[in-house]
Amino acid sequence: MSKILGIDLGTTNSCMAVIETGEPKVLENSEGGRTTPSVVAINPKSGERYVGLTARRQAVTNPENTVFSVKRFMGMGFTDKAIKNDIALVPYKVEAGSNGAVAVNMAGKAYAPPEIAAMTLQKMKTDAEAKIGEKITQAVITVPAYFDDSQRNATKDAGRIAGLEVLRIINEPTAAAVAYGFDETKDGTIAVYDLGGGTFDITILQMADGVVEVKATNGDTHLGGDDFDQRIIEWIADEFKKSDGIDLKQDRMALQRLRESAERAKIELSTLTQTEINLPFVTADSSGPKHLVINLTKASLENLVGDLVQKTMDPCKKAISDAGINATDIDEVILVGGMTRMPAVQDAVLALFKKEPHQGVNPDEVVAVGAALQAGILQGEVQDLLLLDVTPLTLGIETMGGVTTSLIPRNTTIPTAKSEIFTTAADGQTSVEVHVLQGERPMAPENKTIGRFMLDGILSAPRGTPQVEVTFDLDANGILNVSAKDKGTGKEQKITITASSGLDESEIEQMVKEAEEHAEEDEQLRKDVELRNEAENTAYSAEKMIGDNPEIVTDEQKTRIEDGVKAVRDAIQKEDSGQINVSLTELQSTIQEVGQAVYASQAAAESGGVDAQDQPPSDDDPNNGSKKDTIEGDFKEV
Amino acid sequence: MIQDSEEQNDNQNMNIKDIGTEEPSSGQNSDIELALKEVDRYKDLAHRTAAELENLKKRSLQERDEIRKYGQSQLVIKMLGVLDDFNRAMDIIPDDAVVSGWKDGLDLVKRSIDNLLATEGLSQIDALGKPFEPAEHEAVLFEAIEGQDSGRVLSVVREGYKLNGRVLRAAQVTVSKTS
Repeated sequence: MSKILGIDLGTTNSCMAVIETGEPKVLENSEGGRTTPSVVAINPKSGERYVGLTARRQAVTNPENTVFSVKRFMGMGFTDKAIKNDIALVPYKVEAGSNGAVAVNMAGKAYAPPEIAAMTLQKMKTDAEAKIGEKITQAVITVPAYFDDSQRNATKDAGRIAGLEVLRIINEPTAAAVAYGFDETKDGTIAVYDLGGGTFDITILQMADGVVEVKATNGDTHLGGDDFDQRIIEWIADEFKKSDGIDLKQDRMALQRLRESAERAKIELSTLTQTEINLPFVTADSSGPKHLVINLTKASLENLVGDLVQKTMDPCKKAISDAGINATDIDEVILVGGMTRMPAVQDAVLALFKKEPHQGVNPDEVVAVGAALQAGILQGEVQDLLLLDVTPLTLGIETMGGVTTSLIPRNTTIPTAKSEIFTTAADGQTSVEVHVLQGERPMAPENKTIGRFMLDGILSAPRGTPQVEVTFDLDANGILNVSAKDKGTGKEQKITITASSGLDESEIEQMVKEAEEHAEEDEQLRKDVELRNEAENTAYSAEKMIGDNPEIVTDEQKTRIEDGVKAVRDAIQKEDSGQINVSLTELQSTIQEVGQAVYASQAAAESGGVDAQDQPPSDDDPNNGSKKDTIEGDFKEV
Repeated sequence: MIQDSEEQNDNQNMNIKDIGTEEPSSGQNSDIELALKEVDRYKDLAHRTAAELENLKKRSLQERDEIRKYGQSQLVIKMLGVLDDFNRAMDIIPDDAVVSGWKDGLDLVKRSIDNLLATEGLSQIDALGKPFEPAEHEAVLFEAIEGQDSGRVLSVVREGYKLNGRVLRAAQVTVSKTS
């Protein structure tokens, strides 16, 4: 089943997204951009076609054959009053096409607007296929809420021409609402405030019983971020004229730099209270090079664009009244479009609707994300079985010293299975108890016991030798199967625990909270236990060392080690961590010294042909002090 | 451009509910058939999920690779802005205007910046005199110049750069027009 592409086909920029493992993901185009300019051009000499960024870049050399904002002409008739202005404003040729529809002339050929939009869609389709490595044949495309049948069909046609089966045409504000999680379970009235690069749209949506209805729309088709940038550019140029007497607006190159700086300043002032616009060598006159350095404060910016922000308020008020409601009847407000990042815009929206607007999703991408989510629903990906659960609390077993060793951490997606190898803690231990725990505390007694069983018949062996594989298998319903298997004898014991998720929300929250509160002291406790375990293991290995090699270890060395072991065991008995540390370190160095001495003397005797097999074992002892995770009365972790 | 929402057709009254669920039709043969159908459905889901996971792994690797190559893009672009100004300053110093040691020092600073960026995978786009190519150049001026072929880069207003083979910033150029 191939992926459905969610496409926001915008006036200035387009964006696309797909569902990947249940999550919407915006796809980058071949140039690495998350949005693609809705611009298409044809070089009249070579016939070469450019789409997106490349089309924009050659616009200056080819204005009559570079088509932008074709969305304004989709589904329109050539004589429609609404587009009269637009036709006059664009440098490319707009003429009457078949049946009185609008046509755009590129390099001597007349194209229907859907054909041109299809070029953008085609690029997006190709780039998306390259990104995800599979073919795409279907799409969900968004349109403004005010688009009529003719405009919607034109959009569908564009998709078809691009080789896409358009499964749905969705309203942009609805897509935005979906992106913010508004689905059939939530009823209410939503205002979608969309201030993009070149257009402003306000839509009032009503959601009830899983159906979305557009109650009212309004806006300004020629108001957007570009106008805000223009204000800043004018201001900078005016200030520079005042200070240096040069009009930068006459200088094409300077203007280019101004434009970029203005946009950057605007963005920075969304978070900073002031920013410096610094353009060295911006121009020159007879006295030498000229530099532009000017400070723009957030307050000044808000002054410069205040009326533009106000211009968005009237359409909002009209839409509210057309919807037959009051501003206070609106339950939620959603922001769409890059310009809504500006604090002044957000403040104005808050003041009008008296509600904090939703903002979490990238405002440039939110419509495409919504389209992808709709596509996912159509495909059954989002609604179907594959909504997975997670286990709310950590599951583990008790190991040496009363510590909890976790096997499945909390928030692990289920179903899942995890196995680990454990071992015995005492010599000759022939059974192990598997004590199954649920909870976040490092110490076993603080967690909830959800199961317990014994595995016996383990062959008598030195501690640390047997290998017992403990497996936790948690199925999609939260039923936990725990098994313990002695790899040596093959003996196995298992239990099924159904109550592993027997706790309710508040109990779970409580347990997590307690764990956080006690985190520090628990951690200290755990460290103490680990230290004790390490000390005990080291003492054990030290004794083993003497016991296994009575002929090699000298009496003096034997005494030193025995003393060291006693010191450690005393400290363990007293449960004095400080003392354990000291005595342990000493014992460890004693062992090392003795070991070294033994090898030295062996090497000397080596020339006498000592059999290598007589050498005492060293590194394969799992009990040597460097292993931190050895644990437990019954169980040790290998 | 207000439209009364009553005039909207079905497309706009969006039913967000899942349309994918099947209803068992009346006259379904047996429980076994139903069960087998379910089995097939689950098998399919299992395969799809497994495949999705595999694809996700592949894409993650690809993305990691891209991040390694292009993750620095934003920072580098900002640095290029500063480098532009530095170059402007350097270009404008007449050789004799400054004590030579000082200018030499600045040359060395420029060189070490260039070297640093080169080791990060940055390379300058060679635009001057070349045929105008929108993939790498951005036209800011279109001028007719006597004796020049049309469609050539006359001058570079702002240098362009590639990062690990991908165009990071197109060169801003003036392009010749047929006179």
